[in-house]
Amino acid sequence: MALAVAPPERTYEGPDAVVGHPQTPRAEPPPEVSPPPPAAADPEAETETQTEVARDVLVPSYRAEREDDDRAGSVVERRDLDERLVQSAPDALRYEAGVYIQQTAHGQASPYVRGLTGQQTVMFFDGVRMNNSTFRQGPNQYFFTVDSRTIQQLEVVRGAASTRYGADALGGALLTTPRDPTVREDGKKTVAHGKAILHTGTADGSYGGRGEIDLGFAGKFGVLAGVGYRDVGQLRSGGPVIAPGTGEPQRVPPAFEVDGKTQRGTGFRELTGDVRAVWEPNPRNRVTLGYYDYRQLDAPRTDKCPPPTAPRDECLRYEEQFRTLVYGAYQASEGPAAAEDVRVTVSFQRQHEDRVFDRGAPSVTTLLGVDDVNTVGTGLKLRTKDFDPAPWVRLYGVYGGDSYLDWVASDASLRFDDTGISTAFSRGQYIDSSRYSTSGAFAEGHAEFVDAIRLRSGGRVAVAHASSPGDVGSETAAVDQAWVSAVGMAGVSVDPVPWMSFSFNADQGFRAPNLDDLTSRQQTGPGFQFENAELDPERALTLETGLEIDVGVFEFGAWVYRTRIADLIGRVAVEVEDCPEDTPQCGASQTRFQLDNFEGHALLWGAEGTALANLPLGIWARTTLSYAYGERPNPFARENSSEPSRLPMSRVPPLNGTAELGWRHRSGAYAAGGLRWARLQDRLAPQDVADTRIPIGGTPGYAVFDLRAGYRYEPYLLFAMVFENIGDAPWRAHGSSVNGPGRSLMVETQIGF
Amino acid sequence: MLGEIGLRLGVLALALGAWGCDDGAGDDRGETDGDTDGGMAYACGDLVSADELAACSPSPNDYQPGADDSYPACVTDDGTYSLVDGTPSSIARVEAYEEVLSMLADDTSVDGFTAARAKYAEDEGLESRLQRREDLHFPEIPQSEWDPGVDGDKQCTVPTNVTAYPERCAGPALIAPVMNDAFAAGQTGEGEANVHVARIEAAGLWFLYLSVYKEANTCFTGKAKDCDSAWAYYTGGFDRAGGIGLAADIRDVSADAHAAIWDGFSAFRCIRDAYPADDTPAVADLDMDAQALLCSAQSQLTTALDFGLAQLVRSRLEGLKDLEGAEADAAWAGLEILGPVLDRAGNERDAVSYAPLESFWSAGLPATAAIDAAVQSLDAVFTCA
Repeated sequence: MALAVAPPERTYEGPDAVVGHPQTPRAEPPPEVSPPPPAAADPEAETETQTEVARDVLVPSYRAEREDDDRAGSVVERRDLDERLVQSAPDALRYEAGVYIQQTAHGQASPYVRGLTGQQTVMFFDGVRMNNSTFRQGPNQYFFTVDSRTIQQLEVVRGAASTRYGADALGGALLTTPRDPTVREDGKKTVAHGKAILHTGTADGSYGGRGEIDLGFAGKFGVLAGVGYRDVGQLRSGGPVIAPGTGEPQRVPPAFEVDGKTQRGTGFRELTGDVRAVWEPNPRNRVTLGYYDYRQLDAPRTDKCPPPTAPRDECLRYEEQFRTLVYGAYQASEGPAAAEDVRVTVSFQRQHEDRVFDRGAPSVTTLLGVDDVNTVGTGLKLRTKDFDPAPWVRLYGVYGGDSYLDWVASDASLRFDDTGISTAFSRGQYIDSSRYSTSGAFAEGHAEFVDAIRLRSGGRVAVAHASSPGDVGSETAAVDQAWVSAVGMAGVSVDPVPWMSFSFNADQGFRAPNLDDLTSRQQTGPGFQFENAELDPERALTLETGLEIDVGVFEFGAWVYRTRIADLIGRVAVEVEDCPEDTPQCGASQTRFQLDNFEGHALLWGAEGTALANLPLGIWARTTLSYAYGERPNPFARENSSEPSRLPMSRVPPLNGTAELGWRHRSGAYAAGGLRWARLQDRLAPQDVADTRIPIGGTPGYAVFDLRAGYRYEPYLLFAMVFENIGDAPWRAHGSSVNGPGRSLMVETQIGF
Repeated sequence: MLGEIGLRLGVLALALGAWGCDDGAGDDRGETDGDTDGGMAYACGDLVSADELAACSPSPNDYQPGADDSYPACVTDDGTYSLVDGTPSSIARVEAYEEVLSMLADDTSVDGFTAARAKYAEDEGLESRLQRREDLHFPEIPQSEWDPGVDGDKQCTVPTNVTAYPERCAGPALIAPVMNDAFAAGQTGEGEANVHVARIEAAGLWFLYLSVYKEANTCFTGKAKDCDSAWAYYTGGFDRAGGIGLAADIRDVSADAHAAIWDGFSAFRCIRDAYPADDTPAVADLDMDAQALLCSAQSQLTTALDFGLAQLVRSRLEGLKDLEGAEADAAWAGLEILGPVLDRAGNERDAVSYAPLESFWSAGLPATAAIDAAVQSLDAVFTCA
């Protein structure tokens, strides 16, 4: 849930404009946000704020308006998305420290945050929780269903953070802030702006665009509405990567076309629509209604199109991957002392998946599966006013609660295409009519002393409940379980000088087993996975310490962390005899897994760093570095002394980083070069070894150079180009099925009024 | 003596690569795999002499558990099969085959065929392997025809290769269409249900027959657990005294053939045990004696399987003489599928004696005299295991 802030009064800079851009004639300094930054008490605050604005004009800043500046994290802003021409919401995070983007398909991507992903990270869209109870082990595609063109800001909170963000925040939280309409502009009664966006890319032959309209009425009401479409073809890579274990090119997956570079099982279509209405009857109250619809069509899963041993035309496609979010938010400020800022959200979200698994010739069999998850949610977040019991002390609290309830519909069937006859299975991937709720209440206390020492602590009580009727036909056990968890956090930050801050945080995370853990049966990357109805929640504790420096021309942040996870839920290899009755596909799979809590604890530790230099003449440079090391208990070590007691955690990213060097001119022209690199990852979990997505011996390292350039003249024009992977290097993010784009060009034009 | 000479010649050829010996069984790490696909077997030549066949005695190079043979002591010497790894997933597919037949025995209505086909088409089930099965008795697809993006042992996943090399790509090119047509006809109520059932049964046996040979051949050059799959495809997970699927059918008609097949796949398991290797061994890693044993095992299993299948066909031909009408049509429909599977082995063993049979399988329901003649030809060609 986003922190409740007083609605800023904005002038029009285009709905996604950069704050304070010099080409924006109506630009004003940004409003003060709540809570005020430490510098707010400084007599020179205004000057510093203006300095900040000026710097924002020229350079990206990983320290822009974060939910909690004292936690490890970073922010990507609209300007970055436009200039990097990101292809999806996960793609927007490629240059962020501590984040690594895995792609099972061209139309699917899952951000790893500090070595964890999927159900072990939590995602929010404008304060509405996106995670639902069918988020599975390992990577999933659901963050891809956030239309990147609706994003104003994307924040990564690294490390466990369940006090603030609730269940699933073990690895971190991804907080999406959508673009707002222009409510008022220079005292005009009516505001009307439009924009047309056209995009094309050579790597995947994509073309598409978006049209949007931004309307404001009477300085109190604004609407931003848009529709978008994208047609994405097969992705051309730099070629197969070399498997470290064999020295030979890694073939399927992905399967390549005859050119040896174009990847089969890629490409998709995408249709998006959104309407965001904001009503601000006065500066203290704000009502938001949002509708966001994402429809991905005909998206193949690359590692299943085809699997390594299957006919070339065997393919698992997501014919429909939809997400519809409708929500309302009421936000108030300047309220009573106990609730100076308030934000309430009520939401409905529908996740729809329609899978078609075509066996390929000569088979005429098609496996069909449809899953729908409907989620009703509500959230309340409040912030007290600042209490100043002494001139050198400032106190405030943040508290609230949230509740989400899922209804699941799931079915599966088999269709024989030569006869047109279908037959239904007794159960789908999930058990039809299952229910799941997750709710909690939290409170945090914050204290600041002499503008230099900040203490914080808090806790959350959370309740999760799962119910599933089971299925007699497949001997799936019924589930009716509830879990109550309590987590806490504490931290201290010290600013020995105004431009330097040391922080130490201890923050807990938890994740109750969800319906995927408790009821799902499915073919996953490494093998067939079946449920365990007796799982316990996972609990994590992140200890982190960091140093952040901001001297205007130079920003630096470095964090080290250690996340200890108790009762980690993971895949345990089982024998055929352990398979559920009447589940022949379990026994028929080469590898089989059941989810179980590992006894003992898993450990992730690592470090991340970001440095940013703002050089003269509009030149800037930025670099990031990330390292993670994960290990977990080996459940077989007790039975077999020859087994190691600890094993690598699955798909932990390798040492990786980025480097960018850019230039911005006040005319609006810009240019930058970017390097993304990763070392070999050959620390593999047993399931990684069985996973065809990971080449034999591990995933080789890579270095990919991009060049980008463009011209921005707000709000009338943005022309952006990215020359990607200029070395045409074959590369693959660890754990991915699809290789990254080869040498290619992306071009985008935005024309507005 | 002749066998020994043949064996040495085979090894020499293998060492020289004259028959394209290849250990590239390739990677099979997919979660969808219960056994490796295709696989490029080493070609060792005909190591069984006509004289030995005529004498119906074991080749001096045959593996005989517990006997004083040329094999080193190994895990299968007690006559039982010892798994390399956990229970092989192939068992589930043999069980599915049996269940399909059981379902169709109970219900040959349109719905019955649909239910049976659903069993056949289960995820990771019988169909998934049948439609990728290669017949390693036939030459590899020439490398010039390979799809460069596909591993060498998976070239039969490429549609153009399936069309161009139907004998090598027997699963997708020959067996799967039989299955599809039979199921579809049953589902739509066309034709005689029992004929469709017989064709399904025969096509399934063909698949199992190829699978035993394929898995045994790749259990040294591919994954060790392929040895287990060879055992599983033959027995369905049972010991010598038992067995379902192919083992049950062959044991019923010839205990000798059953024993010889057991010894044949046990020979591969013995070699794998006696010459431990890493996960991706190469034939060239073996010394000459071990390479000789590998070729010997290949010959032993080929001979045994061919003989076993011939005995099964022979028995069914004999049975056909007592059937009439729809029952005879159904029995013959099955033989029309299984009979031609012997063409390769028959021609390799004694092309002259086998010649009348090549046209026999496609000549329609035979009269008793024709059946007797066919049996006579089979007996002449497939003398023993």
